[in-house]
Amino acid sequence: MNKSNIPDPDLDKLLKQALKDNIPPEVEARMNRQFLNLKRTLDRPESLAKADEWLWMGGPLQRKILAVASTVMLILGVVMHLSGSQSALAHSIEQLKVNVTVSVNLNRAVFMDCTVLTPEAGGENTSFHVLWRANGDARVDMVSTAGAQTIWILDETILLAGSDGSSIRSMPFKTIASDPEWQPAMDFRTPVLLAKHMEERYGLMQTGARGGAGSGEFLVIGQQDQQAVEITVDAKTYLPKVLKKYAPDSGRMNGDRICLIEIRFLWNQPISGELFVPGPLAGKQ
Amino acid sequence: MNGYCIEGTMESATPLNTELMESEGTLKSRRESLVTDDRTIYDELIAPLEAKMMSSIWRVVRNADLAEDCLQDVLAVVWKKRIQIRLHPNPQALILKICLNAAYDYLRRLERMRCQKDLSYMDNTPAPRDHDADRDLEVREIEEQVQQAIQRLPRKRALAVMMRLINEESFETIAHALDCSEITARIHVSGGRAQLRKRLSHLRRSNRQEVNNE
Repeated sequence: MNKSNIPDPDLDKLLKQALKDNIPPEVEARMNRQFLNLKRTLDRPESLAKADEWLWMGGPLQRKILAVASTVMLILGVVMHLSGSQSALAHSIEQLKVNVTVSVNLNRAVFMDCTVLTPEAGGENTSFHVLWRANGDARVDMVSTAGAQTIWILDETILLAGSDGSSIRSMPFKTIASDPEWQPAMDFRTPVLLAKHMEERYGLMQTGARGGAGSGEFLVIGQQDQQAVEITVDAKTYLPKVLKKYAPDSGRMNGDRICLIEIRFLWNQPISGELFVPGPLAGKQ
Repeated sequence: MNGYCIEGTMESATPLNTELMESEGTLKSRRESLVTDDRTIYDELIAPLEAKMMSSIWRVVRNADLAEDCLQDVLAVVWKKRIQIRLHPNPQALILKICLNAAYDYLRRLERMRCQKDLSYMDNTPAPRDHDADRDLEVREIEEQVQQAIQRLPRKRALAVMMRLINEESFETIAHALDCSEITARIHVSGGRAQLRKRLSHLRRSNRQEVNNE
């Protein structure tokens, strides 16, 4: 018998201890989301095409494209360095890096707790409290002068407490999505949607520690429909802390800037699962 | 070239070799039927293994970001090869091998990061709620040394060792996954075990002393 075949309990024990199965719940949630993404893609009618798209997003092809893009950017860098306009390139690369990092971290978030404040005429606010977790469940509490209301978003279906206070009604997501009353919260109902807005709608162009941004955070500035968009990003986690939108031209003539909407974010703080269970009692936090 | 041609079988196919043609036809129709329902494939192949896939990757990689990226790569590979996996004599073993293969690649990536002192990637694993900092550091050091020892093993040995010592798979399953004989699987495991024993001897000694002290 070969000596190496002799069972070695020490080695087995050491390996099992060092590589023990103690997957943290946060990591498990993130990994579960990968399965969920694949399942969702398959459940859609155009599943095969989408699955290929999903493969493309995460597969080797994406790396090849990124490698080619990196090479092109390096060449561009050298060319622009030689032509003397390196600062513009450095700035745009830095900006791109910030945007990509924020977007990646948003896509990796497992819990989101966000408060949306929309000041109204007369100094009254309508506020929304959005809770979201990685399996796709979301809950939105709205408090306005008209009262308080809670909805749950599960699998593109809206659930809300019926008028009798004891039953639960459901309706297609589109019903609420197009309702101007809920619109301010709908733009921020998932981190992925926020990342999409940051990439496609806000046209984020400048970065720097200025304005209200303190130490450990920086400001990203952009525009949407002529409204100024300012996002304070945590410099450590590269996740947004506060997002504000200002009225067009406000503050240009040394006056106070008119804030149209303010959103405050808390990331990856575990949220009780009970809050995602629709029901008249669950509505009371 | 006829419609039934499957790579590697054309040379031996003659008009009189009806048995071969029939088996090719069966294979082709099997492939076509397998393509039809993606959700069934997911439910049969991946769903029962979700927990095991996560656990296998985490146990080796032990880094939140890399484990997530690794799983994404694994799912991409599994989905791309779903037909071959379904035709495999032991689909579960093959999927486990794909997981550990990717985890092994990520171990090497992790090692490169350690060399470059990219701490941003190293320190992202959430600490347990009741953690003790000194103990954590000690445990993390041991984990790193075990990871380094595994990633220095030749790929097949590493896979065989991980399947046997970590996942406690049978030699038959390992042989299926590695597409080799059971004897070869045993040789891979014992060779890997011997190398690990040598490289981790200092840890094993201190581990034993610790147990004796307790």
